[in-house]
Amino acid sequence: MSSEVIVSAQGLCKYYRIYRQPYHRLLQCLSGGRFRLFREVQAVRGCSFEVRRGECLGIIGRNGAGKSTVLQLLAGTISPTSGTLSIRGRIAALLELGSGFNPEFTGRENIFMYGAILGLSPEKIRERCQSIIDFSGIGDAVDQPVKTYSSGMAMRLAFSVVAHIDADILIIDEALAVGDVVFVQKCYAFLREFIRDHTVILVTHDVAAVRDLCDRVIWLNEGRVMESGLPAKVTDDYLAFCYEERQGASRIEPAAAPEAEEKVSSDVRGEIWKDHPEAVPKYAFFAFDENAPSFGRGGARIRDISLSDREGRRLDECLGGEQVRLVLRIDVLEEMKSPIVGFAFRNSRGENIFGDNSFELYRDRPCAMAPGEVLEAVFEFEMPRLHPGEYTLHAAVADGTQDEHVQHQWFHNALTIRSFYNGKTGVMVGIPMRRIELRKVPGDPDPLQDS
Amino acid sequence: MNNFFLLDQMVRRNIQSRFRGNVLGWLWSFLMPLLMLTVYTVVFGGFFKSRWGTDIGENKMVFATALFSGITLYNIFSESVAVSTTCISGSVNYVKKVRFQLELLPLSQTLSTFLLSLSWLLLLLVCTALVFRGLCWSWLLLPFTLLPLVLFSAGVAFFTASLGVYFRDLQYLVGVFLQMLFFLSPVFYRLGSLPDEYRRILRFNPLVWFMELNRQVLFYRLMPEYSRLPAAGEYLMCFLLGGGAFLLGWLWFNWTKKGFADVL
Repeated sequence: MSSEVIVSAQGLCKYYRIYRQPYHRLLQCLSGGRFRLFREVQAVRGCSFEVRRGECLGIIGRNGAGKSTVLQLLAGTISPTSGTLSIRGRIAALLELGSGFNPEFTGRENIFMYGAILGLSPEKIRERCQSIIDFSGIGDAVDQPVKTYSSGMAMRLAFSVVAHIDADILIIDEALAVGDVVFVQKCYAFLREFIRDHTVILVTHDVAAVRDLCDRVIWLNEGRVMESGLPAKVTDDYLAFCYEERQGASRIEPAAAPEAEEKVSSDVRGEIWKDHPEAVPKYAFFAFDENAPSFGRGGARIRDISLSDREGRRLDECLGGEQVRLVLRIDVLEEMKSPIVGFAFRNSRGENIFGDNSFELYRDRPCAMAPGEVLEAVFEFEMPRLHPGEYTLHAAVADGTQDEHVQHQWFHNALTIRSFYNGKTGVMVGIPMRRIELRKVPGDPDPLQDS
Repeated sequence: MNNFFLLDQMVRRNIQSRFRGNVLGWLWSFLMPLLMLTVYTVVFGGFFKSRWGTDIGENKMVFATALFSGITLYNIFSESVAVSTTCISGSVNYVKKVRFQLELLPLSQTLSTFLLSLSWLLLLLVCTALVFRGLCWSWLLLPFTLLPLVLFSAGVAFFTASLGVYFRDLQYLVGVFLQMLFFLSPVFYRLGSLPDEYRRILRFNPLVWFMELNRQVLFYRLMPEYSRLPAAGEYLMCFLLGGGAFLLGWLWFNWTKKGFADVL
């Protein structure tokens, strides 16, 4: 893309001076540099990036990585300590949706106020007021005080105002997570349209949104650019980094899984996904955490849980629809007459998405265990496509029957799985599809047409 | 250009927000001063039998009217300053989240305070006309006596707004200071009734100039004490005080506002 550079930052630095008392700031100002009353915090240290017209830049990073500081620098509410920042065009910063709203006033009055703050002239606001209200979809509520709005309504109104100011550059900070599905889709549609000949800078933790909208991503860590490039690559590395930090260096190394080998999905879309790598439902698995909380009698201990492919190679990622093998190794400490092993995948809201246990298959031929033996439980299944997000694996070992048993160990959050999936089917679990077909069939003649 | 629109919007909001949700709404802007005037009349005219300079007849309301004129001016100043002291620290969003001309915050507070006090001024004129049974052409000069006061209030508001960010304690100090100023200004006494040396010291309080100027115009020929119109020099002094304070406050505010985001 050879379009013009809209935002250009070179070696951007922002050092915050933290003053113990607010008035120290003033004394510092008056002292002319004779003494130092502050502690320096380097929020952004040498960031360089460019954004062109028609481009959407994503900025990701963990809390405190300097994202907000970069945004504030872009928005012009703070000035850089060093480095240069050149911006061509009018910038509209949405650093916090609706932060300019006054709850006592009606939506309409707030449209005027917010519009004025964002730099829209009175005639333009009057002209676009109706269109803003229509976009927000809040209807007659616009003449009610904002304090009677739900937070979603307020956000929708705020976003609508922003969508109607003639900005060249739109800066959005964690703003798209609000509103209902319909509105979020509207926002996305608006943004896609807007990106065509404007510029958007999106700052978020929401990796899915970044993958969806952005052309390029920079990943900030401790005020520095860790990586910049295509969304898929940068977000993968970013997530891996996050989990490594959290779990120590325990991320499973891909055990002898050769790079070149193609992963096979049993889903009918397997072939299509080869050509559209961004659409592939992917999972990243993270190592079994034996210190995860668990409860139970303790007569058996789950020593290891792993996910592997059919050949028994440990996986650290897989595709939706791929055959995976879940293996649980359990140290038996007490005699068990009829052990049951089970697992469940749970989403971030705590709902069990799918799972199973060994009871029915072994009810008539229990696999009795003596102390000191090791029990291995294997579940082989096809990985469904899941909503993007984080899932946890819960596993348990018990002795008895489905209805009456002794729980020996029940593991919460034994394993974390991250799903990356851009396909929007609107279901929780997308089971592997063997066949999807659209075809024209000869239609029945319309009886009314003939007469 | 857009800043004017923004200022206009902010002043509207400020004013509206005072009456939003009240049962009587806008009526309060007239009820408040009316009730206050009644209180003054009863207390000072009825209980204390206070006299404003030379006794002119038995009208209990003369003192109350003069007092009311002082209080109206004092309120314009004190409210602008008091509200402005916390207006920046109370609007962190405007400092950190959007690009915004922060000068507009104290400025809009001052302007809305002034506009709200117009009802007090109106009542003051009506009351004066009733008490003294007459109007006076000199009232046409009132805008010129009020403008310097508004400028002065805005100037001081700039200072306290800026300093209030750096010294959170300022809001309490300002309260005490304003109370002190109330007694050091000729609100419920006449400057002329003081001994010369006190008068000279009191002249260091800029409010004295504004209040005296205002009373001379307001009560010109209505009261024996105010038999002459203010000289050009007094006008000039008021404008210098007002304009000077505004300019200095503006400069100070602009110089210090860079640091707001660092400490909020």
